[in-house]
Amino acid sequence: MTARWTARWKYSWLTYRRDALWFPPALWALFLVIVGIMRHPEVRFNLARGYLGFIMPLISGMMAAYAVLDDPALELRFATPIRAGQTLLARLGLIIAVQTACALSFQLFLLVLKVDLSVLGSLFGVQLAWFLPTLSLIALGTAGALAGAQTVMGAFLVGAVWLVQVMMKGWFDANARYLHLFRGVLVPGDPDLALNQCVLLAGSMALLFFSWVLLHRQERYI
Amino acid sequence: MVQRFLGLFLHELGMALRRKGLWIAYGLLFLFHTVLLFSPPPLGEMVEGEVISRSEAWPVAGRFLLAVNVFFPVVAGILSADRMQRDVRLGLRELQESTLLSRPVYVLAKYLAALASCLLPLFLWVMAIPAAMIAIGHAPADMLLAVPVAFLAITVPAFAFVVAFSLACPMVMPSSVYQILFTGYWFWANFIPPELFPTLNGTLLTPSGIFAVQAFFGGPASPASRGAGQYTPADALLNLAVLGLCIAGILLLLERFLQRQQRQGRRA
Repeated sequence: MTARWTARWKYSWLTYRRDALWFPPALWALFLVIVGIMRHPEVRFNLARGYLGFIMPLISGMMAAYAVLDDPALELRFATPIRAGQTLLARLGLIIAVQTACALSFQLFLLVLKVDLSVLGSLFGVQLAWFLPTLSLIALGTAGALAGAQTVMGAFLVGAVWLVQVMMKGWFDANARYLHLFRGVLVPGDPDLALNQCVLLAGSMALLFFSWVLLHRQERYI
Repeated sequence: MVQRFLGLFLHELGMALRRKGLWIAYGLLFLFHTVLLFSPPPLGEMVEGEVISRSEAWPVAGRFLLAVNVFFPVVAGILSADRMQRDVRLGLRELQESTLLSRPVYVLAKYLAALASCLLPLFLWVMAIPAAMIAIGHAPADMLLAVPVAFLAITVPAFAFVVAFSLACPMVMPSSVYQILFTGYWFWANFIPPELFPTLNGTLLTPSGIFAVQAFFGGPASPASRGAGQYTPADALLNLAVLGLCIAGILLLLERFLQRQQRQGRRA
């Protein structure tokens, strides 16, 4: 039993993309240093908001695009009785776990520096402000990569959606406020925020379900 | 040598143009931009009855290509990121090294083919837009000349810059890491106002095309140029020269890197 677990962990360690483990903490450290260097409270707040609300979703989405298909032993994996749901949970769960650790420790650091995040809402509201865009881009990156049967498709979708959403806030205000990923960090006082968050959560779940369905069609990825 | 260059260039170009991902990515962005351009406000920018005058054709063409430079270079960067890396990953480099193909020719052909594959679909689309506008009486025929000139001055340098880095950087880091850094870089270096945060926006290293728009097309300040001044033709030429130097530098570094890898491979 122990030998089997050891073998499984060894296989995971050898085949998993390690950039999902080192890159988010590297950017986390970079932002810690920059926030620490900056003295002006408004600049510190903007940087903190930028890291939690924009940078973390981008990293997570791109990593998710590579998480399932970029596996040197993909064919072997498909030959084993590992279920699609289990694969998704293991690969995406790790990304979410690393990002959650980064987000919570970053907020602790901000607390020490007395950077006030209450503008973004209650403690729970702050967590939703980074978690929902992160989950949405993770779901989009995974579904895009699986639908196109290419990691680059997921990466493109995440990059394009991220940039469109960051650059076209005014357009989303006028035309698609419920689909705006960054409403929680950009317009935290919006009366429609709760509905926006529900739509994002439902959309993410739908994309993850779609990914789960697509992952059953293993012949598409070999 | 020219034959070898042409052979590799055409092969790479054909291979890149047959990629399903390229057409899906570009298709989605074409659809998005076309809807914005031809829909009435608040969804789009087409005001009913408004006609672009002949005197406005050049500034409008400049602004159109500047808008194109917001999202399309990101697609080009992401799609080009695996072009060079895949030759190494699939073991093709060893085969190529055993042929008469020289490294500089290989790098140049690969680079120009990746660049051409990113520019070709976009060029067809940017030419279709003024043609459609002229057909519905929204723009003068001068747009058919102004748009390709603006494409050459604004879009080609930005793509040339982006594709050069997208070929070279993934050789020393994972593609996913490069794609994250590149997407963040494109926003930070081109669209963040300098007074808000230290950025490359407004310096001679800005590849967004704002220098060329303001200097050659008489474009007024746009959201992309917030914080930047009005640039002169000398500034724009200097900007193009700096971007050209960066491209030459990164391609030279890439060639040296491949040479080093080749030597290490021989020793092993």
